[in-house]
Parts: sequence; C-alpha cells; structure tokens
Amino acid sequence: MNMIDTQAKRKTTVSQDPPAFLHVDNLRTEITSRRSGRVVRAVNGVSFRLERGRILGIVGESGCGKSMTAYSIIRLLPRSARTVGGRIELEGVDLLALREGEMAKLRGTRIAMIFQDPMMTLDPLFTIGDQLAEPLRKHKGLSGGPLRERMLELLRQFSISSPETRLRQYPHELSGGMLQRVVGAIALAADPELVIADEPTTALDPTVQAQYLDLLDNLKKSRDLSLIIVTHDFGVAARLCDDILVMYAGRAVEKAPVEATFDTPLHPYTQALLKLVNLSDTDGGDHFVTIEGSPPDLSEPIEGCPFAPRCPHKMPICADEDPPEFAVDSGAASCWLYSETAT
Amino acid sequence: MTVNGDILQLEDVAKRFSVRRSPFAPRRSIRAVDGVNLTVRSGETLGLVGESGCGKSTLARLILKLHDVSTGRISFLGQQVHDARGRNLSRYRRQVQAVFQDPFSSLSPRMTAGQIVAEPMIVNGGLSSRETDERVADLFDKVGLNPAWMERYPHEFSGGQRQRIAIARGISLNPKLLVLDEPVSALDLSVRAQILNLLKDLQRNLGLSYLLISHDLPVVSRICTRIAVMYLGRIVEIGPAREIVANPRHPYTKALFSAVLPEHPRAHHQRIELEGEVPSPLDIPSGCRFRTRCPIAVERCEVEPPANLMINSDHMAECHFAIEKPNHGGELK
Repeated sequence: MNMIDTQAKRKTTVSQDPPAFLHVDNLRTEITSRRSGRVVRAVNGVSFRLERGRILGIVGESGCGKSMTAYSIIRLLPRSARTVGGRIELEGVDLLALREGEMAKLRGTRIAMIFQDPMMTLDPLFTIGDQLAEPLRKHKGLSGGPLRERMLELLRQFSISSPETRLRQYPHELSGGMLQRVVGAIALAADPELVIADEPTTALDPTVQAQYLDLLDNLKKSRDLSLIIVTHDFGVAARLCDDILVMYAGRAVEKAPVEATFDTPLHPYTQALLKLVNLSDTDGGDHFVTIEGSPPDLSEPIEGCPFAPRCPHKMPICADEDPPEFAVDSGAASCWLYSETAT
Repeated sequence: MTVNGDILQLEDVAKRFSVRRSPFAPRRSIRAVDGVNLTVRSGETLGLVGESGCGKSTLARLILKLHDVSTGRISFLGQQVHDARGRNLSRYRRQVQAVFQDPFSSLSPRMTAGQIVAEPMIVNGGLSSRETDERVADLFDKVGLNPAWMERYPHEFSGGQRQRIAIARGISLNPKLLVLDEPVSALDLSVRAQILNLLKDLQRNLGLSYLLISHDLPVVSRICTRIAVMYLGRIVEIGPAREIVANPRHPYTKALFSAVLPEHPRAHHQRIELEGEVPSPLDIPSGCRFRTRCPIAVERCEVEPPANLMINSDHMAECHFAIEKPNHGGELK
C-alpha cells in the first residue's frame, strides 16, 4: 500500500543521518470529538530534526496541526487528543515511552513551554516572586538569599525593569509584554535545553513583539538553547528562525533553512502563502491574490495529496497518491513536482 | 479641502473616565481620548493605528455613540451628532455601522445567520418580512455567502464566513461609514486576502468610507488612503498613507514602523528602541506626551506641548522637530 511505502521512504532517509538533539519521526496525533465521536487526524506523520542552538519555526494556518505537534512533544495534549504513533527522541530518550512521572520531571528541567496567553502559566492569586521561585526551589534546590539573587538575575535577563518591585507584584499589575517576559523567565528558570513556544508574541503590540523576539534571539545565543516556535506569522519566522517547517492538513509539507524557504519556496502551498504575507500580488486589478478553496476535513480520509484540490500545479498523480517527501537542495518537500518520474 | 468632501468630523474630542484605585481612594480622571481632531473623507479608508491602551477603541466607541464625548464636537455630513437624541440619533446610527475583530464573539450563537443580518432592518422597521428576507438574500450574495445558508447558525461557519456575516449585517442599513475594528486580525492569511478584497469591492460599489482600526501595519499600509497614528489619547501624526510609511515625521511613528517584522530573513533594518513603557493615562506627561520615551526629546518638550505642525496641507505631526532638526544634534535614522 501507498502509505506504508511513503512511511518506509521517510524512515530510510532519516536513519542514515547521525542522531539529532531532537528527532521527531512519523508523529501521529488524533483528536476525538466528544460530541460526534469523530476522529480528526490532527498530526499525520510529521517528521523533523532539531539540533542544539537552533530555532525551528513550525508555520501554518489554523487547524494545520502545528500546535498539536508542539503539545505532542512536551506531552501536554488536551484530554480529547492522543498521540497514536511515531517516535519523539530527545538525545536518544524516547519521550513517548516515558511514564508520566518521568515526563513531569523532564518538563521544566529539560523541556519548557511558553504559551500564547501568559495566564496559562501564571496564577492570578500569587505574586510574580512566588511563581518564579517555584521551579527554582523544586528543580534547583535554591532557597533564601541565593534564590532571591537568582530570581532577580532571571528578571534582568528578560529586561524586566525594577525587578525587586516585580517580585512583590501580582500578574494583574503588569502589562501584557511584561507578563510574557515573566513567563519566559519562569520557563527558563531551571535551565531547560529545549523551549517550545506556541505563538508567544501574537497577543503583543508590534514594538513589544519586536523586543521579545530580540530577547529570545539573545537567549538562544547565550544559552545554546534549542527553540521550537509555533507561529502563523512569517514575519516572526523571518526574524527569528533558522529552519522552517510548513504544515498543511496535519502534515509537514516543506522543511528548509529559513532563507531557502523565503528565496525558493518548494511546495506550491508555501509559494502561495508567501505571496499572501505581504499582500504583494494582485490579480492585475486591485484585488489581492488568494488561495481558492479551503483545507480538507481531517476527519475524512484524504485521497492523494491534501493540497491537490487547491493546487495550481496539480498533476494526475496528485489526486491518487499521497506524495512522499523529496529532498530538494537544502530542504525537502512532500510534493510530486519533485519526483523525476511522476506525471 | 478635497473633491469628495468630509463625511465625519471630530473637533477637539475628549473622553474622560472617572476611576478610583480602591473603594475609599479619591476618584481620578483617565484621559482616554484627549483632544482629537480628525476627519474622515467620503470614499476613503482612514487607518487608525497605535498600541494597546492608546485610545483608538475608545475613539471608535465615541464615533459609534456607544460612549458620549466629555468635551468636543462630532459632526456627520455637516450635522452635529455628538449630542443627538431620539430620531436624529437613530438616523445617525443607521449611517455609521461597525464590524468587530472577533467573528466568534460578535455574533449571537442563538440566532441564525439570516436573523443576525436581518436584525438591524427589523429594529429600524419599514420593511415587510418578505422584503426583509429578499434583502438578506441579496446581502448574502453581496458578501459572497450562499443565500441557502441563511438558516444556519454561526458555529457552522468558518472564521472568514463569519466575518462575511458580520460585514453583511454592517452594510444592511446602507451606511455611509463603516468602522472596522481589527476586521482581519483573527483570520488566516488566505482568508484575510479574501476579506480585504470583499471590503474593497463593497467600498467601490456602495460608495462606503472606512475607518480601519488596526495594529497590523502592513495591512494598513497596503489598503489605507490616509493613516492616523495615536499615542496616549492623541493623534500624533496623520497624513497620506504613502507619506506616513515612506517619510514618517513623528519619532513615535518612526519607532512604530521600525518594529514591523522583516519580510525576509536577510532584511534586517535598524529598529528604533523606545525606553520604558507607555505612561498611564492617569499621569500624562507635561509638554509633549511622548517626551518620556522620545529619543530626541529636549528641555523644550517638557514645558511646551507641540502644536499641530503641518508638514504640508495634508500631513500633520505633533512634534517640535517634525520640520526643523533638534539643535542638540540627536538625529533619527
């Protein structure tokens, strides 16, 4: 069968490379709708590698599975979702095989998460100091003077003004940009090696967003951090990321170094998206070019390439067979255009 | 001033809210909108940009008469409307409608799409139920929705389709001015372009004027005729979109546009860093309200509020140095 064939190809391309810092292989996560019982294949065979000190941007439109991919890695999926296949290896440790207790120990110490809404992390009833102290006590065994010193140092690293005052303040007393920095400080308190950030700057004003991205960039350099940024914003990707993974309909349709993605996008979907970003293309009149149609329903089986119905380069094979991943120059694309034999 | 003429005029409009920090603290006054002069011209798209808390939403609510002005005048097609009551107020509200950001919370989940679009017409009366139905079907068609979907509920539509329902409702009373509050911020890229195209078509076919409130500077730069930049309750710069983007004169406008994310990983432009945070509207700085964060502020800025400096007949910036250079040599890139 075709799907098995595709998966086999993916496996072989991956196993030839040396082990990566983070290696996600053929990840599959499903969401079961409580009302209808229908199963949505939110993440459907996603594979990628991330090295130390690099930033990977997972980019795509709503419902493409980018957030579910991120939550699958740190195993913080909502109750309705479940990872049903694949491997996630952090320096050889299979995260999906760990017991919940072992995974909980890893969260914070090796992997940390920054959410779009800072109040997902913060409790409104506790001061910033209380909440920043928790990971430092728990994972670093700090208390008293050294604890306070470390907290102030972290707040300063995140360019938070008057840190002594902040420790005594409650979340509602701080601005949105300030809260997102506090959340960053909490995430990095126990020196994790991998940070996963889900749309960390989407709710921020432009000037605050730019400052926050600068901050993440500096932290990556000074701490040799690996970051996964989930975003719908190609501007964030251009500013911050080293590598880009474009998702569509639960699949990774394109992977490439960031400059290659912007210079020579491989997949027709990426090509179309990039024209939409800057509203740079018009139809000759005063209309912006759009992508016709909408993404497929992921609770229905998909025949062939999921982008085929909207694709301007569609070939006969696209309607029948799901394209495997083809290596192209510095990147890879799941698209039949890059097969030498497909028609 | 223009061939088309002005449709909406705001003169020295201010809105103060009275607040207290705790139950026994004295009441203090927040100056959310603080002396705004603004005109919307017939057929144009005026962009209103600024960061959270700058007063742009309060200004929109004043224009929509959801708040009353504290001081100042608003007139619409030459008629004074800020103190309108009764029949005059309803007539004004028919002509000025709004579309909000979040099509998930701005549409009632208990009404069908058809009912949502029909509601303003029912409230205003004058149409039989058959005429209303025909008009709703016509509106669905205008905004690119299948009229057969009138009986469906909002949750059955995608985000882009919901925004189309909100737009259909917004134009149902044949308004002259639409206030668009972040109409595409919650939408995906492909849907965003479709909605912007729809808004353009409607503007041309129905002769609408738009006041577009947004923090998405690339979108504003692409579709607006003019741009107004707001900071701490005041319009600090206003002018033709092309001029504001290519040649901003107010240091805040420069900083704001320098924070726009790059279009390409190699396109690293110099960003202008602003010190500190926006001051509280409870304590607006003396003189120029931007001086506490301004990279070119001098002593004069502390004592003397900048007057409306006209760079040309159509471009205003509230900065002492919008035309002349600061004499201490500090120069903005």
